[in-house]
Amino acid sequence: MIKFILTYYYSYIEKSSAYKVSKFVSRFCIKTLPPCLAEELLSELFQELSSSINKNEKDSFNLDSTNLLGHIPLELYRSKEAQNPTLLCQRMLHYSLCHLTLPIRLQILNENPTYARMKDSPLLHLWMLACSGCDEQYYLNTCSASASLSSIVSDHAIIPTLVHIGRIVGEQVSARASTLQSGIPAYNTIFGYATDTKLTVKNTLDEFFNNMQNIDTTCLQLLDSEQTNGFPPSSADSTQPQHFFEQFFTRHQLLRSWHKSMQILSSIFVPQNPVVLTQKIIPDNWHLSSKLMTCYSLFAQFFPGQPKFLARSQASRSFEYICWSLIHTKSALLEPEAESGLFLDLRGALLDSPNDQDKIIDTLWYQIARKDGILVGTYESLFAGFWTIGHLSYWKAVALPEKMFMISDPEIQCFKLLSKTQIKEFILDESSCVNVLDGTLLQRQRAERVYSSMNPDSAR
Amino acid sequence: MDKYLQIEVDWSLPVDKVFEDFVERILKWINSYFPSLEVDREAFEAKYAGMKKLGFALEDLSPVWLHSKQMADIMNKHQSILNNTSSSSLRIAHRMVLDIVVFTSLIPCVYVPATSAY
Repeated sequence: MIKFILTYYYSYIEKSSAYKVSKFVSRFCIKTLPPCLAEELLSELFQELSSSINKNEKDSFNLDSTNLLGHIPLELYRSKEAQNPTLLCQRMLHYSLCHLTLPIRLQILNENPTYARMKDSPLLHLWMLACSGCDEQYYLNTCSASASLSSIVSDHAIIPTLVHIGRIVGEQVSARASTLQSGIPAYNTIFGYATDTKLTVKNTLDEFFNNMQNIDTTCLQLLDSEQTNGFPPSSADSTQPQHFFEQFFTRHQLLRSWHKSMQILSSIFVPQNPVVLTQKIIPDNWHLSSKLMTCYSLFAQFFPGQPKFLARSQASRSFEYICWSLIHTKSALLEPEAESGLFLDLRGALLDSPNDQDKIIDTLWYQIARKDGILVGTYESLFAGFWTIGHLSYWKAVALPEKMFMISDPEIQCFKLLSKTQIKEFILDESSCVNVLDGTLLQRQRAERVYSSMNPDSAR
Repeated sequence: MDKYLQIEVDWSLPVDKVFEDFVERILKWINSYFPSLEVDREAFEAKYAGMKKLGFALEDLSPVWLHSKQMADIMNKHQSILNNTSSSSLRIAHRMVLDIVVFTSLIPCVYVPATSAY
């Protein structure tokens, strides 16, 4: 019965979505290195080796001065038990930090006690697995933040590193908020007074830092309980999967908590102009939630102190409003110049070359696989197309074994699995307005510049 | 050679044979592509056993794409260095290369259909 209800529920979501989906999946995996980063790591390693050999210093090889590999402890390789699964997971963890800029990496390694405890946990693999998958937007207007967060999660191996960068972002916002004046309303109202902007920002920041602390504390408690109570010692014991899943979802819940806190924080990335967040009241169902909340907001705006309906239409800020490049070495964005500008007008390219459509979709698949995932802008329609709004999703390329696209559409908490044909139809559908170079405003502007330089006579 | 090599899992085999078959095919691929790269079979299998430890509900093992052409070029250069010398440092480097390749390539997944887990 439950299965029937769930099947019906998901088929309802499918009908209400522009995507024609093969399947809804939750995919949890341990992953550390996308091919594009692995190429850089191998290149750096090769340079270091060449220079050691050129200097005839075969045994003086060390990576301390390298940009990406300097933090990898070589003792992990010197150990006679280098192939021990725990050491293997530790090495995977160290490699996953290559996504971060050197100062942040060193901060995490030297100053983060939760990271230090988790690194030595015998259940490190479980923590790594729990820090994967995607999550939904918890508010109607946080799709951009939510998709960006899912792309960030795919770069991080364990939750403490996410909490660490969350705190850094919180401090950046806090520094911006320090100049706020009192007495400025946080939003427009029809009747009565809105909450003070300074107070709203302060409360949001306090709640954010408390949530980060709670996640940290829960991580430490779970690490303590692992030591006290142990865990099913062998995966060979087939009676344990239920217990495994309970333990897994307890840890994964912390990731969801981080996701939600970061989405709330994104509403005050520009503290002078906070965004009013509107709750997505039905989990996994953005369309129905938005219809219900539109009715509610139209009515509630006449109550004293309630935001005007239009005040709720502002989308939450995306991650380009913070100094992201100071934290991460890579982003989930395609370069506009890639494949000789093929992605500048992907739909046009598909329409122009009906015989090469499969080849073009394959190229897109490879590019996404190489980057480990990209942010893609689309449009969503509401009220039979009378209202269209911008939407952001995170696309990944998988092979199961045929090449497929796994899409984290923040409207739901699972991935949508699309075949190559389905993704082609989706891109060709004019109403979807798929733009694979629209992950951030800066990316779009750069793409427009590249497009203009390649097509000087055409106006976009 | 394709830009990525995919190794598909043969799920028609009994579960305990799936891993053996999978590892076997990866070893075969590495050996064919880098004939002189000494692959420590025991170590490699132990490494994969670590992955298997995560296997619990391994309903699906995502077939892998082993590194791109650029990575292969770099590994070839690395191979030529390894051919010319041997030292403890280079053995470490060798293991690091394998780690990077394996961590990029082997992606064990727990793949849960949405209608069963949530």
